[in-house]
Amino acid sequence: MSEATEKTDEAENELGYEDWAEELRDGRLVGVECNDCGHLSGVPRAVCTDCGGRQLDEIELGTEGEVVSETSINVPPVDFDRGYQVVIAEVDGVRVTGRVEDGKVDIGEVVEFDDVHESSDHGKERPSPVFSPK
Amino acid sequence: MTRASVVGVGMTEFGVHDSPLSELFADAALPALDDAGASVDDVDALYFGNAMSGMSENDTHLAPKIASYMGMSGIPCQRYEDACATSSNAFKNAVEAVENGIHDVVLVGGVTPETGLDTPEMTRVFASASHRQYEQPAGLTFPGVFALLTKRHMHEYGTTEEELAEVAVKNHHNGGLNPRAHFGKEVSVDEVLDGVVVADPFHLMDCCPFSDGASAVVLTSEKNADSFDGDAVDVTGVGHGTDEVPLSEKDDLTETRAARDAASEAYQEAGISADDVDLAEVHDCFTGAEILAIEALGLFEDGEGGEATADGKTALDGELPVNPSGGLKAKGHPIGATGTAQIVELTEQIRGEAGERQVDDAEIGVAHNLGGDSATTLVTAMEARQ
Repeated sequence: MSEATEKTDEAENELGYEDWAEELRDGRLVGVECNDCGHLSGVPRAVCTDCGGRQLDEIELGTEGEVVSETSINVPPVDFDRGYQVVIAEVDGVRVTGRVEDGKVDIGEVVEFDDVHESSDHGKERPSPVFSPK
Repeated sequence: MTRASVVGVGMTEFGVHDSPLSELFADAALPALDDAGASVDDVDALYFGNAMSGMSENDTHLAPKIASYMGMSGIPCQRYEDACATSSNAFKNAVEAVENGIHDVVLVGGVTPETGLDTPEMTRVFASASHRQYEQPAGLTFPGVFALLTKRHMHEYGTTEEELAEVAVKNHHNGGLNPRAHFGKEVSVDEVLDGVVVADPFHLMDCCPFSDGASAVVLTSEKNADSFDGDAVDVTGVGHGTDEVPLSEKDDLTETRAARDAASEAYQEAGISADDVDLAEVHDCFTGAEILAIEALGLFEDGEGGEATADGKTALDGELPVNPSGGLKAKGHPIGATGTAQIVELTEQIRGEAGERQVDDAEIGVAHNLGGDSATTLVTAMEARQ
């Protein structure tokens, strides 16, 4: 689908939430790969869920993914405007939770990560990936 | 093998209550003690469940407050929180305490009081069980979590919205036979499908309500059980499984792994299989969740839960009645009280005290109580005393 998963930084293998958020705002979806067993995860972790390894290297994911599941949220939480989908998309072998704001996608469709939605959490902005139908 | 025995049960009506948390809990707990023929002086410990009252009511450190109100201060009191699986986790820990001789008589239960929050605020509070960094910012909601799981199930197995609606039709019918249910009226599949969409595929009547209420049980050891007035029902297995948060990290979106692990553990402890189960109380926070639950419990093959429901197999007079109480869907879902309310229902069914909703020959029942992102599930097996 998109270019192969590749390691972006061999030296810095500690991916934390703030790094993940910063990369996202810079237009990059990132995950982690276990240095011991190669298990992939779409979110930062302290320990590999498969083998217990503690060296989890940051990997940059592509921008294209396939919708694994989706739902249109018509009754949103306070401070969210209705009219969006929440999707789980598979991108380069990991799954990412994000939003579709323009158009509507079904399971199996290809989507592209091309924007970030910011929501406020106790005064702190938190980003979420936004995907578009492709 | 019996791990502990329930000798008293009580619960409030589920619905709208104005009373403070301690008063609401006492309205379930004192009837449970009365059912057992016990007094508060007999209680050695309180195992208490509450979810989210710290957020929604600015009310914390709850177990000693409740003990004080009930005249039990001085005993060990502990509070559990596991989203919607809160009070069944309290129950599990109480079973372990009793079977290991740490306490002889334990009061276990949970409560969710009236909050006064509006729907958008409550939607935010319920979404707190999803991942704060990787799910909440997307605007994922509690219905949205189960919508994502259910849409995948529909995609993989062909489960239909009509089959989902059949869960609501059945559980509303059962709720109508339960005097403590929040809702209970005859509804049709078309009426469910005509309702507004909350998070597709769920229409309003596919969703459980926000309810207030409390439930409680008195638990003691197998050998002490006969010294109480209430007919003992034995706890023969308790399984407790967990799975990944966020949802996207789960290996499979439709298997609800925690429930499968919990069911295996509970069945093994009890020395039973899914074929032995006479009735099930399952966590139908949304209609799709009941389909996932009955498959995870092994009561129906994967992918066949929707069709089985539409065929009436899970109805009160079906081959395997599911949620005779009306379930979360119709009985209501005060999240802190739901787990032990399932234990109350199984106890009454196995005693033969369930009135109009009594399941015939109810000797072995299982409860399936799930919490937050389906990352916690407890399965409890209960059996008639031989």
